[in-house]
This record gives sequence, C-alpha cells and structure tokens, in this order.
Amino acid sequence: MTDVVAAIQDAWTELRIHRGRVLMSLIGVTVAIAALTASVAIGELARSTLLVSFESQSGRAATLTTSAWNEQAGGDPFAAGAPSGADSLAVLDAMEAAVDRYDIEFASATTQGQVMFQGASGTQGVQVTGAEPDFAIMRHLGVADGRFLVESDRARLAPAVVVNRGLLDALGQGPASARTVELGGSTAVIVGVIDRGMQDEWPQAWMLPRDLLRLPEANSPMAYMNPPSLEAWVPEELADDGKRMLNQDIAGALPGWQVNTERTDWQAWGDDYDPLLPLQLTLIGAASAILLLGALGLVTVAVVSIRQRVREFGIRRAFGASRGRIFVAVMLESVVGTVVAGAIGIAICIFAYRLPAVQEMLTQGLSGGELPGFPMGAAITGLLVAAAVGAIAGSIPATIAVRSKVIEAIRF
Amino acid sequence: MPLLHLRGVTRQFATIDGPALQILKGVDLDVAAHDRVSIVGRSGSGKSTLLNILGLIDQPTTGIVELDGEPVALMGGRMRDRLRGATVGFVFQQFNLIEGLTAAENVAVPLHYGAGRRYWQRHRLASEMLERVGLSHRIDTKATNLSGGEQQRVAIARALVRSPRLILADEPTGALDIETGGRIMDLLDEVAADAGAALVTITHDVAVAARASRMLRIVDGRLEQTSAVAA
Repeated sequence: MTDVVAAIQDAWTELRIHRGRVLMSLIGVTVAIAALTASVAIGELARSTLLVSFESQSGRAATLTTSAWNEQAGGDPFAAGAPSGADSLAVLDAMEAAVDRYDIEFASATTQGQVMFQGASGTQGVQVTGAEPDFAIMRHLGVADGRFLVESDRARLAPAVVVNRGLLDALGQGPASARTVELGGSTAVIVGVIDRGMQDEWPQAWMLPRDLLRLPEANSPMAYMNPPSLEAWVPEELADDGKRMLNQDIAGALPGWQVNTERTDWQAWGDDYDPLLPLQLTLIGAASAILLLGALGLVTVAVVSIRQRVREFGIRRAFGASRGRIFVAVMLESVVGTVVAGAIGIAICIFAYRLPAVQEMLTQGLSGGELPGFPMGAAITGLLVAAAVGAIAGSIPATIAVRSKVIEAIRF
Repeated sequence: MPLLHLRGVTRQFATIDGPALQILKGVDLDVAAHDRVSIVGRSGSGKSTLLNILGLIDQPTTGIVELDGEPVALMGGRMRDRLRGATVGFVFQQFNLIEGLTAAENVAVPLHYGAGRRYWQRHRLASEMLERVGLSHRIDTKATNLSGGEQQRVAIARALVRSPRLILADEPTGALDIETGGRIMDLLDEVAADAGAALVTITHDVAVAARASRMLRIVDGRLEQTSAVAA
C-alpha cells in the first residue's frame, strides 16, 4: 500500500517539477481525449435519440399490436363491409376487456382518421389519432404545454384533444389553455400541445378513441377512419405468450372477425441491427488517429527528457529504489499526466455540451425538447483510454530509465 | 562479526578492442560497526569501483562480499536494493541533490523506499535531520538555491535519514573550499558517531583521510594499510 502511494507521490512530484514540459506534451493528449469523448458522447446521444425515435414510431420492447377486420370486407377496411362506428366500438370493447383480464399495465387502443377543423384561414383537414392516456408513455410523446389525455377526460361532455404546434398555428395566435377547436363537427377542448420541431409543422391531434369515433364526421359515409387496433407494452419474456393469449381472447369476443396479433416494436426487426455503428466507428477512428498523434508527441518529449534525468534515477537507486520501482514511477508520471489531461479534455466536452447553442442543435427532433445528461459512459471511456495511453506511452521512457546504469549516473 | 567483509575481491571490465581491464586485483577489507576508514589513491586506481562494491551497487568479478555475514552474491537484485536502502547512506562529491525538490524533499527521498511507517513520517523526519545539520531555516528552500556547503549538509542529512549502519562518502569535501570542507567533515564525523554508523571516506585530501582511525591506500588495484590514526 505504502509503495503504491509513494510511487504516485513520486510521479506527482515529478510532474510538479517538470510542469512546463509536461504541459506542452499533454496539450495533444488533452485535445485527443476531448475529441474521443465527444465522439463517443455524440455516438451515445445519437443512439439514444434514435432509440427514442424508433420507439416513438413503433413502440417500446415488447409492443404487441392486435388488428381486427371483418372477414366480409376481405381484409380491406375501407371496402364495403368495413367496420361501421358501432362495429368499431364493439372492437374497442373486446380489446379493453382483454387488457383488463390480463391486467396489462400499459396498453392503448388506437385508431386514426382524417377529419376537418376550423382554422383561422378556413376549414382544413387534420390527421387525428385516437389513443388512450398510456399512449404518451408508450410512444415517448412529450407535451410541451398543458398535458396529455388522462382517465378523467372520458367523463367530459366536450371531448379533450391534444394538438401539435402545426394545428395550434393554424388556429391563430393566443394561449393554448382554455381554447377550443371545431373538430369533425364537434367542439373539442385543447388540453395540451405537442412540439417535436419539424415533425409538428403539419396539423395533427390526439383524442380518446371513443371520443374520435363519436365525432359526427367520423360516422358519415365519407369518413376516412382506420379500424381500431390494440397496442400492449409487455415484458419481453412474456411477448410470445401474450401474443397468443391476446389473439385468442379478442378473436373469441369478435365472432366473424379476423384477428391478428404481432410484435411490432423495432427490436423485433433483428438483434444485430445497429444503424449507428458505421457513424460511431468513423468518429472513434478519427479520434483514435488524433490520440495516436498526441501519444507520439508525448513519447517523444518523454524520451528526450528521460535522458536528462539519468542522474536522478541513479540517486534514487543508490538510496534503495529497485528497477521495478523506477519503472513504475516513470510510467505513473505518464499515466497521472494523461489522466489529468483526459479529465481536462472531458471537462471541456461537458462544458461544450452545456452551451445553449450546442443544446439547441442537439435537441432538434427530440420529443419535449429535453436533452439527456452528458453520457457518463463517454466520460468513463475517455478516462480509461487516457490512462491506457499514458501507460503505453510511459512504458518506453520507463524502460530507458531502468536500463540506465547507476554507477555512470551518479559518477563517483 | 564485521559489518562488511571482503576477501579476494576482483573487478574487471571488458573492453571493445583489447584485453579486459583489471581494476581491483584481490581486495581484502573488514569494516566493523563504528569504524572510521579512509581510502586514498590516485585517479583511476579503483577507489570508486571499490566504493560501488561496498555500497552494493556493483558486484565483484570474483571474491567474497558479505554484509552481516550474509554473502551478497546470493541475494537477488531487489533484495540488494532493499538492503542498500536500509543499510547504506551515500554522500557524493557533487552532492547529487535532485533539482526542483526542496531541501526537505531531497532529505525525504530515501524514506520513499523504506518501511511504511517512516514514509508517512517523512516530513517530520526530514525536518529533524535538517535541524540536526543546522539547516532548519532552509527546509523549504529549493536545492538549487543553496550554497555548496549547504547542499553538502542536505546530502549528509539525506544519507543519515534512514539511520544507516554504513556511510560511504566519496570526496565529500571535493567541491568545497578548505574552511567549509573542514566544517562538513566535522559534521559528518559527529553525526556518524551519534548515529553509531561506520564511515568509509574516499578522498584525495590527506587531511580529510587523517581524520579516520584507519587510513588505507589503494595502489594498482590492491589495498595497503598506511597508518593507524587515533580518531
């Protein structure tokens, strides 16, 4: 224990004495570690952003989607025999009963339709998604203002609706709260606003499936409505059993209907799918090249300076330092130096990450506009690489140091 | 049993284009605890080579070197390093202080390679040793800012900080003026006596050599007794 502490103390003392030289040699390492950490951080951030994006499109692992269609329609929900409003409500009943029976924590019946709304510049069409309150959690739908749909909204006489920025803009200026919108022939109360950047420039809205199906326009012969489906977010290990049981249960409740349940989240696409790997490998490759150059500079300065310290090693050997101790001390000087340089590089990265301009750039496309904290994995990787570079670069001058002859060094 | 026991020690060095160079040709020497031995000789006579062997830095080509009755040749390198650190204190002609370190930090260097307890007490022990050599007011002064005499006092404090049983001094006054050199030798004799350590001094200076209880001359690679001087 004392030997280790003493070796680190020796290394720190040497760094203090030769701080000018050390500072110059470590600039390259600092820049390299900053670049490496930034590369890993960007990779991790992009990966988590893409994960959220995938999950917002297809649901979290494992999402089971149950679709039902009337066999008389031949699989075409918009052909003759497509479900009427009453049929859709029956499908919703069957799905909700199945969710209750199996006590599924997160589930949402969903349906979609195109209805008209009264905007500031006239009547326009809007895509409305019928969704349950759990849908916001299942699909990472962050609400920028107000709230998403909640259970108590089922009791409202005027349906609650969550709109996006595109629809709000089309309604004209004014605060979102306490506003209403003429939607599909009924008056709906806006309870929340979603803003995911460019994704929300075109009008879009979310309301409870039954509220959507009850809109006068949804029940007209010209209505463009998808039949309801059920999304259930279940533990991955229960996905296969859940698929079979949901399918069996809902099919049993809907005689004459064809029912199909599939796992639809993106992780069901394949285990090896990693669209970010090429980008991350390129970034890490570039950072590694910078790191190699930094390490070469470090080694060059260290080798030159070590030859000027031969007398010092001789003195230390004369007073009891073993060859191993000299080797470890010189190598530790390099490791301590690169770890300090690495920590500075990582601090620069974290500082840059928190700059408003960088935050604004990185939050583009993130639901709710919230950036996660700096990826600690990137910081730890940066620090470990810094220590490894220090150990490798330090082993060369350390070898030279232990080969120096004590007798010649101290010149009796 | 003598502290150091040398019998028939030879040391030769290979040369690139000629026969091997025979520096020591059968040296016999016993150094007892509390001994005061001085070794004089011309340049190139083998004084430094002998001191390297006495200090466990070098090994003889042939012959026996025993420390406390233990043959040094049978010890591994790491063991020799540990034994050297614990038993021997060096005082060099050119002081050999480490630049950039303060007086106290230089004195504490040997404590980095000793037992754990002494390492953790290194600041106190170094300060006490500097006080002992009259440099309590220079504890935090960088080695390069000290005078020659002060640097040699720091070197003596460093040699003694691990309480060695053998002090090897190589031309300890060689880089100092006569007056300062005299004071340094007084100090070295005094602290070595207080510490109960044997003192082996290599010197050109007959006056310095005469301070020892035994004065030896090295001639053509062999040791000769020249006189017995009362310490």
